Amino acid sequence: MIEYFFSLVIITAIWALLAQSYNLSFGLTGLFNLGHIIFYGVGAYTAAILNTKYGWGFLENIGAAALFSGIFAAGFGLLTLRLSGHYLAIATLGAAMIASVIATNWISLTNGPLGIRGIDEPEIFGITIEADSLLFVLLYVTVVLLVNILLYKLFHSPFGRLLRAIKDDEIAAQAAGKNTFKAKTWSLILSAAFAGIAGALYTHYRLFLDPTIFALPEIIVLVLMVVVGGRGNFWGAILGTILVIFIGELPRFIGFPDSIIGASRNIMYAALLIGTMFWKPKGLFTFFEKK
Amino acid sequence: MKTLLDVRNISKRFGGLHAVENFSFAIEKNTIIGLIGPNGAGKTTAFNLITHFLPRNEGSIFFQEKNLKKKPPYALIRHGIARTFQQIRIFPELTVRENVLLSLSWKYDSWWKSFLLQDESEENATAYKLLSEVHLEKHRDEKAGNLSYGQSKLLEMVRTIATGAELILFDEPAAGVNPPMLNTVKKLIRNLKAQGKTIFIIEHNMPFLMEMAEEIIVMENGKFLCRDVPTKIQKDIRVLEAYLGGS
Ligand SMILES: Nc1ncnc2c1ncn2[C@@H]1O[C@H](COP(=O)(O)OP(=O)(O)OP(=O)(O)O)[C@@H](O)[C@H]1O
Ligand SMILES: [Mg+2]
Repeated sequence: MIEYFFSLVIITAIWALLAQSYNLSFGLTGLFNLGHIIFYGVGAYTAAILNTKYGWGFLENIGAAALFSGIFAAGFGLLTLRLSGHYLAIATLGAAMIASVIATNWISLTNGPLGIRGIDEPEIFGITIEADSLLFVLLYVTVVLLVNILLYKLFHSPFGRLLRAIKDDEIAAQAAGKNTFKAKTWSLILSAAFAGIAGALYTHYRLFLDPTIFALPEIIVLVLMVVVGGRGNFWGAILGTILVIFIGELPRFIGFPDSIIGASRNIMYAALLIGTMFWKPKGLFTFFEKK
Repeated sequence: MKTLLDVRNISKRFGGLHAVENFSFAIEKNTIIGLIGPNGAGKTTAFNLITHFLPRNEGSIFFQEKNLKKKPPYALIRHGIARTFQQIRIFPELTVRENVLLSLSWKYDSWWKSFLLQDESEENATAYKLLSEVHLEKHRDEKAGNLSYGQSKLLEMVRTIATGAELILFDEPAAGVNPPMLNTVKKLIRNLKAQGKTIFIIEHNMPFLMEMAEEIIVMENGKFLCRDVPTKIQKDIRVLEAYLGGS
């Protein structure tokens, strides 16, 4: 039972980081990018490959994943960020599907649908930290906390203000002398680097990685977390993550039969989204806002 | 006097429509110039061409004797050409102060600088001063989206001035503004002039321009019609015909 609880905390921590990274580009900057899961996947694969082929450890992989995802996002941004609104959404969603196809078929690199096994557990100062142990929970919560502090500073910096301005009115931001394309590209790169870290965390937790990491439902869950919590609000993404994971676990907790867990989970997600849209369209964080 | 802006034979076509055609004029430094013409004459389009928010089909523009070529709009602002929009553009979700801060501080436009150094006390002081000029300082921590139409207009003007540009283009600053606010607008523009800035104003409000502008340029059907001091423009038969003839 305690292990189930620990695993829930670890999953929540990873998602909280992923959702917060998405909140930077999608929430704060307003980039309708539906390919964010690509950066998560690239980070996860970077860690898995470097670990199994070259023996890189947990901490190096976090750095490498951030770097690779960031570089990947730079290219991705140059190709897509001239598009706006719905065009950007469609192009990035397509890219996520392509990423899945590549991960499935580039066997020599990713081992295809069979996935990569034998990934090492995190090792810190020579101590191996086993999954679902208290130490593991502490490690992951610490990493996620530290990265979230960075993100918090970024959200509330003048650069964060510029991103919010772009979301409000990109033309006006240009009229204020801002190179909005550059700012959007950096927003995407940073957002991807943080997603890459989340991916590396995932890899070193699951110890197995296959192309399903790029699956469409994951994208929807991600959008759900940020929208429910409140686009662009720092605490919103955390709130959204906790709520969505909690609600996703409810069917199992109540003891629904396995055969309907997936479907009932989707119904609850839909209810959560519709409820939010009616009740607090700007996100549930507004519930805590001072009037 | 020194020429600040030199516009040579610019043209803009929207499909078959010649919104601006072979339009040329020059503006001297530290003057207030008006731009008038009937609805659809091409005034706003001319502003969009000068600020590069629209690409021109022909012609060239020199600012401080430098050819602007195809610089993007944000770069022009850093060169010293800033503008407001006929349809107000502010950042409704940002606070009033943030709206101004945004065009005040260049130094934090890159994320890592903004991340390391976050001291904006100087910018905050400047923003406060600018906002006081238009009596918005009390609203500085409110969302800009909550301001009235007139206040939003003043905020947009202040944000434009805050860029520090030498040449400032106002697209109908007097439209929809109540009399007390109109006085604020006039004071703001006179202050700019006193600081050595150059101001170019599109306006339909003739009494306002009569009072503010040193010279007025008239456009009709995308073309240059004439240019003179306001008292002469007011009596110019060609101008009267342009307005009465309708377009
Ligand atoms: N983006 C555009 N696409 C197509 N036509 C346009 C566009 N912008 C302006 N026009 C047309 O160009 C002509 C000039 O428009 P413009 O807005 O410059 O006039 P204006 O002199 O500013 O008029 P007003 O006094 O009503 O603001 C008009 O016929 C307008 O319909
Ligand atoms: Mg106009």
